[in-house]
Amino acid sequence: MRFAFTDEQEMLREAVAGALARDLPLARVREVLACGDQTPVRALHRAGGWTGIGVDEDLGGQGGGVVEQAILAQELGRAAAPGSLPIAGCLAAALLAGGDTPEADDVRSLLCDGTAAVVVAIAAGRDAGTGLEVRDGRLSGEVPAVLGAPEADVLLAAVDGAVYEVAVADPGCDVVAHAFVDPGRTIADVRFDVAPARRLGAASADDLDRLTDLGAVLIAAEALGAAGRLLDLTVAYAQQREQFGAPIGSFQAVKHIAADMLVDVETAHSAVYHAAWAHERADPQQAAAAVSIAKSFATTATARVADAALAVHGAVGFTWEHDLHLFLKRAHSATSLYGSAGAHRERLARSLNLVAETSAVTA
Amino acid sequence: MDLGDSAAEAAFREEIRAWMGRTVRLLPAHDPVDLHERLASFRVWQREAVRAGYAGLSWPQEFGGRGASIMERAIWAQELDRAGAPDPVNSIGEGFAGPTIIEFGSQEQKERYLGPILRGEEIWCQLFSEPEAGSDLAGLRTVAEPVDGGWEITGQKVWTSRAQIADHAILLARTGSDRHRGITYFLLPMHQPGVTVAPLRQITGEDEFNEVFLDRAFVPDAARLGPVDGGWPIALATLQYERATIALGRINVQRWVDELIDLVRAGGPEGPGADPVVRQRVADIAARAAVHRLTALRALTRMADGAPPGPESSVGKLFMSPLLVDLCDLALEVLGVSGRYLDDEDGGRWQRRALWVRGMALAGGTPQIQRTILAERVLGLPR
Repeated sequence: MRFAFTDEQEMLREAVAGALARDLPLARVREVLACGDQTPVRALHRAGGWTGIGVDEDLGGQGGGVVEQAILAQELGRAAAPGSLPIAGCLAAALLAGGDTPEADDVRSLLCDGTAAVVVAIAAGRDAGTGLEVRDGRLSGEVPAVLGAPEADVLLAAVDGAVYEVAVADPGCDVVAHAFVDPGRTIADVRFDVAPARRLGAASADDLDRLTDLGAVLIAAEALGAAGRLLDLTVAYAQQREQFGAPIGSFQAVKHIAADMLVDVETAHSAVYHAAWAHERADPQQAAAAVSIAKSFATTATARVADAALAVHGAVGFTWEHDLHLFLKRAHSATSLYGSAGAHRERLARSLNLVAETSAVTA
Repeated sequence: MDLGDSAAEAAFREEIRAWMGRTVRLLPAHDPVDLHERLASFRVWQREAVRAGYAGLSWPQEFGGRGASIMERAIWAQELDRAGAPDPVNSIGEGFAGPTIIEFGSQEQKERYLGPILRGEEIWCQLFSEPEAGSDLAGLRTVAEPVDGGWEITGQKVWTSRAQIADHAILLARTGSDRHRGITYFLLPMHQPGVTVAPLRQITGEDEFNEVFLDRAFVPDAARLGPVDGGWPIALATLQYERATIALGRINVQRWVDELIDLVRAGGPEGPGADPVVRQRVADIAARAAVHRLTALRALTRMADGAPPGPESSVGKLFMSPLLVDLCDLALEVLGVSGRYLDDEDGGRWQRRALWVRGMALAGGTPQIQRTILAERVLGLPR
């Protein structure tokens, strides 16, 4: 039993954090958000090789697994990095992992070197949509709330155990973006209307729950990063801001809020990396429980951290001009993506067999 | 990063799980409330542990121990919890006094004291804290006067767990005026006229804590540990062993969660397990218990690497106290009014736990003190 990053994982974390601090400071984040052009952010991902994390090196990726993807997501959250492609790309890579056809290799290499934005048409919300079907090589159906879809060049769909690819530019593919509360995230309802679909090979899993679970882990990791940054901002502000002739951080009321934030950040860290490890390495039942623990506990804790940060900052933290809301909105909106805390607690409760006699039938 | 057992760890876990499963069957299903009855259970357990070679798990092999690694000790603690092992009433002997004697004791002292600790024959308590020397331990006032053949100790100690069943105590007493370089470390025999143990009854109705009055209690010079006036560094070593023991300690979280789940399940299809509100709360508690264990594993990994404790090791207690309160309160809610009946087997047990965890939240620094310490020492907020 070891619960610590390996040297390689720590090096990855430092490399990602260093590149983001250098090339994507908050002023740059705001520029990207204002003009809506993600090109420089995508260039940064390509340059760092981050688009291939979690894909085996012999398949053209950078190696690593879900823990490495979570490290990336956490650091992106810490930076309030704009764009939902990194997480969407991890889901795409996972879906393609089952396919060893030339077509699957083709899309995977575009994904890994960052030349195409590949997104899985899978719902991040409660509504799974109408169900997708493929007839005569054409895909139809609706999927609401697809994270990253507004940035996609290519959409992947899992239908009857196979993966299909649809070009977003095709007239049969309709992507209607929502204005999302976190300006750094993109989300859209996707509709396929007899869109030409290329079969890429077998899907990696027989159901999409594992894919949704991967999304849940990475969203929780991103929220953890945002919460860690909020704690740093709050401590720095409490040291510098003076009221009643003293730094507000010297008041016990403020100290105790900050200490509770630390407890939330550290325990969320435990939950997130446990889930990342379990999703890849543990048996399916254990993995699902670990993900539900992370999504219910960690995203609740990190949302609490955001509120506490706002409480310590006071009114200045409520202004658009202050950076706090970039992180607060990332942490808050994480609670709504890939399963609410309540939904994940219910799944956990079901796995605990709280009603011994009937659960075997209903589960 | 590998949260699963290595092959060797898995084998060790399997081995001790089988042994513990057999051994708990020799004992009552639930640990007795009365301390003396608990002592009887513990002695049965310890006798079996000696026979199987598990006594003194962390001690070096030359002193009868097993020389176990931090992770083996963690697995041992997890499995103790899982098996429902009896209260380790000699944790001060095996966890603090023994390792300190191994590190600082003379050959004669090792031969005299270590065997009886290992075999559970002699129980130890810790006479460090005083009414005016709690967090500020070096402020202690109990004095040791040299007399023919040894020392006479006079003073008062407080918050002493299990003094009423202890045969020996690790004791700090003042032999000089210098705050730190005037303290000597003794191994005090408890059964003598100069030692008076006055139990402090707690709100649970139990009296595990005591005040201990020392009135010219005699310690032979052979039972002085380390040099005269040289006790402070030895005391710090004991406190290190204490912290390691607490970090690894049996915290009973998973077992209590399992008992809560059994309680909910016992209501059947129409019972509390069908109530979505109860289901949500049980799941929340199960999740937090898992997170607590995982955070402890992070701290243990650092300890195993010999690295200084990180922030994760200081949040444990603040996180655990409300978790235990919520856990016990939910069990009491599920039980209904019978949860408040001390003569009901389930009720009595959960009610005692519900009170006990509220005291545990205060021990070793109240949550408010803990928050202030975290804010100042870990986050660097101004004093």
